[in-house]
Amino acid sequence: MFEQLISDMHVSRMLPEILVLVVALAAILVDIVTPAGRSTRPVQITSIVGLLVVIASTLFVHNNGPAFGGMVEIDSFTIFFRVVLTMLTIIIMAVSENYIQLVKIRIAEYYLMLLFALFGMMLMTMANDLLIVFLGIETMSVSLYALVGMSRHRESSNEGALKYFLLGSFTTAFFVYGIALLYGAVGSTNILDITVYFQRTGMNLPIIAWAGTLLVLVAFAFKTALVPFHWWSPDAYEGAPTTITAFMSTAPKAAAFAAFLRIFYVGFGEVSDGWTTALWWIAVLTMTVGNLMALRQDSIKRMLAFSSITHAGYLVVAMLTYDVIGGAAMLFYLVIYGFMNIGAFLVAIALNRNEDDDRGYDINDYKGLAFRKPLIAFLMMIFMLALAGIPPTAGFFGKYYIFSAAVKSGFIGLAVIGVLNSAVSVYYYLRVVVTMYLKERDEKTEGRIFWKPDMAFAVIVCAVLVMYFGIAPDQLLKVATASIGALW
Amino acid sequence: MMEITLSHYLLLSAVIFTIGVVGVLTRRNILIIMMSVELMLNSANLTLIAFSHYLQNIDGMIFVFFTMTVAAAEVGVGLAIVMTIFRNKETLDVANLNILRN
Repeated sequence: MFEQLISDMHVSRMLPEILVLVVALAAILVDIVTPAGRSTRPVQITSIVGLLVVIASTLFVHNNGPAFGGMVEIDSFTIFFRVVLTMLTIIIMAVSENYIQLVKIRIAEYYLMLLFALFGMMLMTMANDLLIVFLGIETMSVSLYALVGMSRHRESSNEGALKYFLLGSFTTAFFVYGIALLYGAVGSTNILDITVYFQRTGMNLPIIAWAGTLLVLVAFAFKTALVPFHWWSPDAYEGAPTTITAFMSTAPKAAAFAAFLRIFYVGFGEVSDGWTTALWWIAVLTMTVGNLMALRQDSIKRMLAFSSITHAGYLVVAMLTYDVIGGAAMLFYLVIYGFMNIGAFLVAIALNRNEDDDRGYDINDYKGLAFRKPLIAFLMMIFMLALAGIPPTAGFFGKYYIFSAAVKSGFIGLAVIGVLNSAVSVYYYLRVVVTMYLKERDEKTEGRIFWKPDMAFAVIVCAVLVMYFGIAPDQLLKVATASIGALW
Repeated sequence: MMEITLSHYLLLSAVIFTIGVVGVLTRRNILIIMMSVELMLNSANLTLIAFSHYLQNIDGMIFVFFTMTVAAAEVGVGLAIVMTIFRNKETLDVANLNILRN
């Protein structure tokens, strides 16, 4: 009887998640045996090697299906995000060691928090029950609050962490209240039960079910920083150590979108007329407001923070098509956006004159960079062109797939607004390129350049991937299509 | 005497939730804001328990345990952040936190 219960849980299906926790424990042990005050390099290497094993276990051990009594679902959608999220985390960890030494936050907890955040994100991508979504979001968020505030002697880091924490926990309360109302209507928090319930009721819902759906939507809009629920994100992004900003703007956002997709496509699919209308307005606002704010920034870090809001808007455009083409375009964009955004942030780190000075990300520091450091300038140009969506980079295909999916689903007006916004965004991305290539060098703004081998390697990997997916996007798109297919 | 029904519980928790939201939006002391968030979370817990009892279904009560655990963890990290702020600025007023601006 008891053995039967255990085997019905299918614990082994969660092998990669268990491995992430094992890696975290191993990293704690490594930190304990390292003499105090020494580098955290052993912890970093343990974490990265462990995460490579996690990727291998995801790719080579096939064991799909529900686990823990249907609380989580392991399918190709889960596997896609497991690999992407782990890869993004590895890139961030790989460049972190020199950076955290520079900004004097060299403690092992930095890597541990990243590992726990990764665990939370993986839970979110497989969650088939609102309880697990909640736990995943919280595991991720609590780790991120600590990571944002890690530079504890820098006031902007404190402030960013506090704003992120207050608004994050505010959102959590909305999310729990939304779940409570849905639970009252449905009688269960399982997504499949919610589907069955909505199939029975159709659009003819009691008010608590509507309110619950709305609150869950608002909570996800907060977590993915969609307008009008985005105020926390520029401040949290600017205050955080920049490696963490690069991480936060990509992996947690992808994970939040994964849970968003699963809940709304599978759970709330029957009432899609309701939420697609809401998302239509959110998408328009997100793209436009993010762009207008990004136009005004002189700090590269803050510009990238606002531009990541805009990119979330494009992702929502893909999401609200509510079909396989749009969903696949969304997954495709999440991957390439991850690489191009991390690449751009890493270049910003390389050029940052002084981490303790919050003004160290001024665009004027880039004047004539192409004559001073041609390679860095060239790599930055690739990322800027990709973010602007100019061929032959992957950014072009990402946007092309999204807007063509929108047109195919009949959202022509939305596609037009998206393309116009994309055209506006070219201004602030190309401004960086122009500053690097056409402006005279200015001795006053030239500082030291923090270009270590690990950083160079990671940036080049990102750039190569961005170019590769731009020239040969078919493979990734095929994988994305197969993954999103699991939700139908 | 009037019987207390499900809708009384729901109404009560909706009122508490609203008080919490208003508290977060209007108060300027960080600790008061955190307390308001706790109010919101607890009103959600009350809703869960009320429904759980009404539906004769245990899931909602189990959910409450998770919410309480998570809220405790969140407050732990939150108070640590408040400590760092207080060390650097000696204030708990959110209006004084304005380095990060557009």
